[in-house]
Amino acid sequence: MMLTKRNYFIMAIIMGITLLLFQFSQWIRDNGNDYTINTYSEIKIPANNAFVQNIAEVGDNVKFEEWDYILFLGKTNTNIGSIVKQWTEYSKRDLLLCSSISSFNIERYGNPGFVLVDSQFVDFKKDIKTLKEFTENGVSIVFLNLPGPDVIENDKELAALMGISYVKEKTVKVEGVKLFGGFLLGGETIYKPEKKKQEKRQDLTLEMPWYITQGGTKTYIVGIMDEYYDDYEFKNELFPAVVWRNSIGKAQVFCVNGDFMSDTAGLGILSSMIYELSPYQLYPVVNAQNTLVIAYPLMAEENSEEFERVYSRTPLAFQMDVIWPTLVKFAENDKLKYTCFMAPKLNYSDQAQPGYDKYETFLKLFSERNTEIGLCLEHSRDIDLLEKLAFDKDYYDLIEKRYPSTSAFMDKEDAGYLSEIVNDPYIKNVRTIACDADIEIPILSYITEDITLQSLTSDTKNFTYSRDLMLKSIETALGYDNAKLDLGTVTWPDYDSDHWEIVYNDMSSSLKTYWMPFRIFDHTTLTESDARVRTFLNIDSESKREGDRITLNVKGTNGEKCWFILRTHGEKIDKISGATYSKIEQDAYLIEVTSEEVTIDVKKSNTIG
Amino acid sequence: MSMTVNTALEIAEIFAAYSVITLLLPHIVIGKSVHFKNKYERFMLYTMCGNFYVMNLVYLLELLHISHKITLIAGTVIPLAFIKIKLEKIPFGEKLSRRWEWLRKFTGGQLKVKAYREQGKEERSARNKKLFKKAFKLVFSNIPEVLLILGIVASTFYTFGTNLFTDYGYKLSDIVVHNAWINQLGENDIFTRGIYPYGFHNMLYYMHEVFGFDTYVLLRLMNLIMITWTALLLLCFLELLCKSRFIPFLGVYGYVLFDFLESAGYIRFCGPLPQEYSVLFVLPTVYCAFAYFREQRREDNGCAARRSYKYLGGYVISFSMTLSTHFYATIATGIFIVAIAIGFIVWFIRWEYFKKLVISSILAVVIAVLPMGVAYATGTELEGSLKWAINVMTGAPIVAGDEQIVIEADENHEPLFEYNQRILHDVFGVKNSTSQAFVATIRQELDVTLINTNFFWIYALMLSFPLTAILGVFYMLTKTGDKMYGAVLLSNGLNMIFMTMLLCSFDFRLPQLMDQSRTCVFFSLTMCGGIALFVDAVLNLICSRFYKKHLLNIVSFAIVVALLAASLTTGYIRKPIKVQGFESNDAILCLTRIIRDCKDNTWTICAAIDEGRMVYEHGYFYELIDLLRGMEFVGSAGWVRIPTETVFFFVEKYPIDYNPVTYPMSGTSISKEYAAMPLPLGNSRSVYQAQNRWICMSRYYYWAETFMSLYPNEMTVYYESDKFICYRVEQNTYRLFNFAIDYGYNIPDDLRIGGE
Repeated sequence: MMLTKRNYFIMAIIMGITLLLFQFSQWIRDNGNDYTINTYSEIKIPANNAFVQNIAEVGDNVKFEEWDYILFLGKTNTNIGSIVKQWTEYSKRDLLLCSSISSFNIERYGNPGFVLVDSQFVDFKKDIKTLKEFTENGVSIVFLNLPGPDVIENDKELAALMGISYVKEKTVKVEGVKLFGGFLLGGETIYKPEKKKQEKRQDLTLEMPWYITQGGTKTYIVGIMDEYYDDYEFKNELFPAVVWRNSIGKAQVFCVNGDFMSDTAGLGILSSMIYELSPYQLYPVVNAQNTLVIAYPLMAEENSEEFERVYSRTPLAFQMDVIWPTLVKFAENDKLKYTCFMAPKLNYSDQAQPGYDKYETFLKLFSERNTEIGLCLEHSRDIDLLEKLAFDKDYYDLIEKRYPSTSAFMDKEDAGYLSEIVNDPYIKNVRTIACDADIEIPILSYITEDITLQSLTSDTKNFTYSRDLMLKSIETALGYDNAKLDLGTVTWPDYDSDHWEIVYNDMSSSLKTYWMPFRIFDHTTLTESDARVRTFLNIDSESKREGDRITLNVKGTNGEKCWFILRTHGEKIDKISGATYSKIEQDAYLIEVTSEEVTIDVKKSNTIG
Repeated sequence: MSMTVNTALEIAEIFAAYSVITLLLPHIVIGKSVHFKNKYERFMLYTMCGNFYVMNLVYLLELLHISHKITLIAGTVIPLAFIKIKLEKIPFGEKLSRRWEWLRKFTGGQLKVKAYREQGKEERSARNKKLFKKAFKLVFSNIPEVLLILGIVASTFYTFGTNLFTDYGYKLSDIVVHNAWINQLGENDIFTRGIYPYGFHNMLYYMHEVFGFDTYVLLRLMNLIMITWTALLLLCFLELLCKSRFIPFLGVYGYVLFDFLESAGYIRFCGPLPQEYSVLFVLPTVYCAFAYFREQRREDNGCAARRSYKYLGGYVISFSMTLSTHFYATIATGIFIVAIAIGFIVWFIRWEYFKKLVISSILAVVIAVLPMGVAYATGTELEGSLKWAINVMTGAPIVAGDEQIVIEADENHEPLFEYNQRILHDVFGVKNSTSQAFVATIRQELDVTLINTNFFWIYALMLSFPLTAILGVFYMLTKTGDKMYGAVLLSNGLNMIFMTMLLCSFDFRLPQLMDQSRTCVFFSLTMCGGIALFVDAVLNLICSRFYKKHLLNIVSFAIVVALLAASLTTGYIRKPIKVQGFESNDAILCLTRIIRDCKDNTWTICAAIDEGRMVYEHGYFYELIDLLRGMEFVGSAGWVRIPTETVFFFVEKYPIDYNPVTYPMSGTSISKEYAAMPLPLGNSRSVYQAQNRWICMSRYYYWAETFMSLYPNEMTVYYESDKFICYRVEQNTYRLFNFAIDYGYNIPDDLRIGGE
């Protein structure tokens, strides 16, 4: 069949239009976007007016308001002390330190809001009377850890104070731990592996003294023992209590049987204890969920032979064609926002040099998905940070001209170099740094006058039960998570589990389970969360309740938005002004404060008329 | 929704459901087959058939242990459909094949729904029009009756219904036991506490399962339906026996509205109980016996219609239901049947009549006793009250109820008749005082227990009993008189005399077949019927002189209207009964809301005792004495766990008087003084009676307040009024709270840690 001119002409036009449409959209994208602008650098930095916490030791000439400060029987240079200090700072409470209860004079300081006790610093034989006096005055006590079972068994008054009926066994190994719902945010969780492959997650301390609690107590965390009392009607009630509360008159005595308060899990547990003590709790939170992708992209084609063998691709091609689409899929499903920390090199003994041409492509890809690019200051152990920076100086100079980074990631071991590197030209735009968590490093703090530190709080890989407890705890206390996905190990795998398919599986399952309850919080990049962290550290607030109306006064926001969590006991928000709210879970609401004064009307549910 | 609206809706629903069982279903099944034209007869027959079927269906399924909502519905629908098909000779196969053909066409797309609807439209329209015309005619040709019947219903609602809106709890102590038995029917555990007539229980259980009413709601409200039906059956009974059209209303209004009865005659209708339910079946049994004689005589006189068997059948099922429901009704019915046997002696002694009646009576007893006999044969013991009945018959010492209280004639208590004789002789010097003492005794008993009027009317009433019998004899002996009517009058007159003797049996040292208080229930019903019949007989005697039926109706209507008007204007109407509930209104309100709002089986109510039966199938119950005892002397070292997510605690700040014991300090509040008293001992209701209740509630209150101070966020006040408070505790079911605490009154000071 002959093709007529007319048909030929029409077909040509259609093909031309099609070509134009495809190319035109691409042209629009390229010309309508400036991939080299870091839009996050335009976020206004709230001034550093951090709330100043009153912290003093017994004997110091300070004055606290009665019922408004916290008395800590212990020292801050311990793990527990560090957690107590952090928590009081974040919850904007004054702290009175006391290493020996005998030195505390109640007439001088008045009654504390409540007493936190590190049992190491208490002589129970001698101090039980003072502790009982606290409860008689209506002061609640938190035993952040417990003395040995022998001490409790031989001291009936102490056992009665703690709500312990009797010591069943001095040590017992439980099969798992159950966290009851309504205590930490995130709901009820059983930390007990059901399958063989889950056993690697179990890293909680399972050996503990076995205390049987008495009437008037409420348990929040309990050890699980399948083999005991199978034929007994109330066997669960005999399981070893881990965290519980005993009520004595108006006072409550909380006890933690184990080392849960020695890490960041203690932050949320303390917040939840305060919630349990009060008719309601309204406290500031950060409301930021960061997902940090470390050593991605890696600009040097390191370990390329191994990559070719395992993945049949070059490292850069693998990062672009395999990893990025997967990350995009997660981002779309879980509304994640990534902060990718670009690394020129990881292993400086490898001869591969960082390339620049692919960097532009990554900038485009990241820009399209609202992804922030930060500097990855991670490096192999064979050189130190300063050597690394000297090695990468030229590359950094080049790329920082294209895209000035406002965030960086560094190993916690390199924290000591910070003061030396902050004036480097390619570091000077950095306003916030993320680094691995350490009990001695606060999760959120100012590292210098202008730069904040945001510690990593979770890891999508190797997610263990204690990590989950910490995640829940930090989400409860701060509404914050700084999760790490380290792709450096994919390039230089140490174990089989470092391969991408395993990393991918871990990340997928973690996002679908452990992070799920906290989807209500905003997903942010590190620079976005930096602004929120600064506001969080700045604000001071006061709330009071009259009838069904809660009034919140917030200071130090400088006009920025800030967030609070309201936790009630069976009450729902009826009306709110000066803020908006969304429900996190039953009896927990996220309040977005837009005004200095907020009023919240709550109403009781489950009552007649 | 307020409790008042809720109660009104529940009454309407129960009324409708009971009407479906006792009227609609029988009408659908046998309406076309029974050729009774008389609407009163139909009402009576339908009520009997509906009750009989349901009672025995439940008996059967329970004994087979397959009683369930599905089997009950299937056991109702399938056999009744079968009966209808058989009775009406419906070509079922043909109808089925027609339906099948329609279904085939419909699924094949050959027939549309619209076309199908069009097919039978005219036929249906004509049928509906006919039905409407019939109903219209029925109402408008009987407007006076309709208005008077509405008046009866309104009267029962006024006199018996008002109390349901003011006091929500059970009004009688036995109801809670019956509640438990009905609950056990749900577990296919009939005769749970021994063999007992379960007719009443079966009916309530059926309504609970099939219509979904909570048993406690039925037991709160069913008495209104029972008294209304009793009144309507009395009306039917009188309408079927009286000559005049309106005099029957006189008897019914006398029973439910006029203020001439003492409360003993009707007060037990304040709550639904088997005995009161059995009252329903007394008059239908009697009527069926009368009607049998009438029809048999007609047949003897050559009437071709063989209807006597139908009445005998009615007699059998009604009489069996008296026995299936409560023995007292059987006794009352039995007395009436003896009176009938005497009244109809002329016919009764004939072998044909005698044989049929005796066989029918035996059959009725067999039907009623069969389920109980089966249970007995399978090893179930007799319940306490049945043992009592047997003891009465065998002359053994009388025991009543499960508490085995021996009721014996009090040797120190002088019978009234002998007392009157002594007084007449000693004080007034009457030498032969027997007859005077006899009359005085009856008059005094009627005056004290039944009749709320002056001596003249009491004597007139007493006189009416033998006069009715005499009038009956008169009618039987006169040539022009209606002999059957005469026999009815004679039987009624004799029955009233016998009932009077039964009422005064203790006074005359006669066998005491029934408690006087219970005799009153049957006495007042038959007396109202008897008075109406007496008036009717007198009026008929007078008016028959003028040979005008219309005159009788006009006069009877005038009498009824005049009496109604007089009583309404003078206020001679009965005040609404007022009986305090055994549970406080607040408790019932909370219970109703909890059942409505909370998910089933996730909650427990901790209260005194009665709520334990009410929560069945919805939640659980924990008795407060067990709670308090669980921490007595040991405090928080005790062990009290209640394994549900939510626990409600019902506390009476002003304890109620838990009958039959009345506390002298009734109306006062709980206090620390009561709380400081020792916890009552025992396990029965005595723990919640009189001062014990005050002690328990005081302790309970201080426990709750202390517990709330220990768990301020977990324990909240769910509801509070001046007299009552309901606490709500939410707990973790994996790790239950130990409710045992030291609340200040449960541990002696020397036992406390750190105590002296």
